[in-house]
Amino acid sequence: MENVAFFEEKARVVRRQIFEKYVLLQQGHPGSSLSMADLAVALYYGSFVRMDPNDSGRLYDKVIVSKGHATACLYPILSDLGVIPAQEWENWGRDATLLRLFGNTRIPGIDAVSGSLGHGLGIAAGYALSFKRRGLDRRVFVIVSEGELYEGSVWEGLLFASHHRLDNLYIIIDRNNLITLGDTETCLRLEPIKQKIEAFGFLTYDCDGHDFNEILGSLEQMINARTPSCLVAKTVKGKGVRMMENKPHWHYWHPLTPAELELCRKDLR
Amino acid sequence: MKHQRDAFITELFDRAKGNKDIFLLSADFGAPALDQFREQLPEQFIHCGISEQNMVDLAAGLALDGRQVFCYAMAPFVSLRCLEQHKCATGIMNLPVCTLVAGVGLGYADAGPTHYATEDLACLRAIINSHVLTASDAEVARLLAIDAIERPRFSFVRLDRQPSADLLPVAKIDDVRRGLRIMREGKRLAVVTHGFMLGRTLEAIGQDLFDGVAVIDLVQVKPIPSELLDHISRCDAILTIEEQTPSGGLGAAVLEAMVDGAVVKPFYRLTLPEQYFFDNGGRAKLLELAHLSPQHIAEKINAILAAAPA
Repeated sequence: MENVAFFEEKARVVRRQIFEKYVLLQQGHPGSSLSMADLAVALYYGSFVRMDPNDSGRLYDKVIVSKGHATACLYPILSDLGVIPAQEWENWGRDATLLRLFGNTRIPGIDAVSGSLGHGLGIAAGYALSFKRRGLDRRVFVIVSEGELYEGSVWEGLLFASHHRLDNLYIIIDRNNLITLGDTETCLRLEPIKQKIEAFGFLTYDCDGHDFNEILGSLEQMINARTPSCLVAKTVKGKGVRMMENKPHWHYWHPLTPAELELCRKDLR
Repeated sequence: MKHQRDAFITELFDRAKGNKDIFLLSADFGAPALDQFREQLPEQFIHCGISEQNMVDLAAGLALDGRQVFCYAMAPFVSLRCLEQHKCATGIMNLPVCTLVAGVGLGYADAGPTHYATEDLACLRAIINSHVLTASDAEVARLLAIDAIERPRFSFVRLDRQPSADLLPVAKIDDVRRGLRIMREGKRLAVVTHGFMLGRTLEAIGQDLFDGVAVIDLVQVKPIPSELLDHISRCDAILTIEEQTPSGGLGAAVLEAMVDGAVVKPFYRLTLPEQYFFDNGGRAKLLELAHLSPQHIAEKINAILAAAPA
């Protein structure tokens, strides 16, 4: 795909911005934010999430970041698109702002409170069903971490969305393999995720969650499928910052020495 | 004799016919009135499967798109099993979702403690933004439906499982709006109760016995109606009666309100014991074991009145 370079550059900017914000705040969830950054860039800059044609600065479609600890990954994008006022992003960590580590509905472009795992899919299904019953062509994207698949409510939501043929609901699983205590397959096996979700009645794709050709192609197929669909995106926790990549402890922020900070910034250039 | 659930859902059905934004969700819990709703308003009814957690998350999504949502399921499961959904999905966002908690207290008598909702009041009133209401007869349930539709808010309406006759004086919409109904006037003792225990209390008191005993049907436990303190301040003592465990229920709520309002009076309460019951014999037998039968209530009132003669 010829415009891949455009998305890659957007993703570099998003990663740098979110990293620098966490440096400023000295807190945050870098591992998860960096793992889903490419997915978020593809969703918004690929116009899968559409702006409201009748209300500039507002989104027409919904995005629920069910893995609420990574919501901050959206802020640089929403700010760039004019959904979040630029000043709110600038102020974060310096002055009064609407922005928080976890998303809430006071923040423009954030469509649900999240933070506790396992709620996003059900809320997204509610939005999607309501839109369908209004006869509206509005899309609902929900970004789920694989760690959430341990929550039973996710599987309740899958049952429901499949039964009601919610073809305007798009599930994206950020499969970075790591939960707090280590690899999911060692801690408590989740695989085969794709087959399990297929068995629930979803058209399920998988892709490299850091390859824009694959991400954009998969999202395009999902939109055109007109059936409940799910993308299992294989990602790397902490992607883009080598000292954080595949390191469970970088789920949370840790203080960095000046030398470490310089190394991280070098990776993000 | 009428079922509270049918009274509520029939009223909801009548109003939903003219309002396509009213949705009724069920976690596979039925009622004759619900059958009418789902047959005639299928676009406004959602069967959620036996998935209370997803039902509440789903309700949040619907409400975020401007729907007025009613969730309906068996009391023990729609209260405690999805308590975190009530907090994180509907409570934090303060969404207009009304949950019908059907079969509170020991209503599922011989089913045993998995089916009792005897901690639900404490749990639901602990959630920030919640409004917690209890029906003591079918007419109150019907009026609560009207009120819930007219005042969309994050609420729980606790319904009894058993059909019952409407208690006198018949409830009026203002009783529900202000959160309490005065059943009897009196100055010596204010008995504050609601739900199934209101009928048992009135049975214990009888027609004209216990002169000076006021009985208040506390329809709304959270927030406590400010008017409640006005009433109980005029009485010499207060007794609360509930079909809940001792921690955090109606008695605790009234006592908290008294402390906050600096109302200092002798205070007594009757609750279920800190114990799970596995006994057969029906609800009356269980209440007998729990010292909550009409006879026990009468004895308690007698003892309080004897301790403070008029």
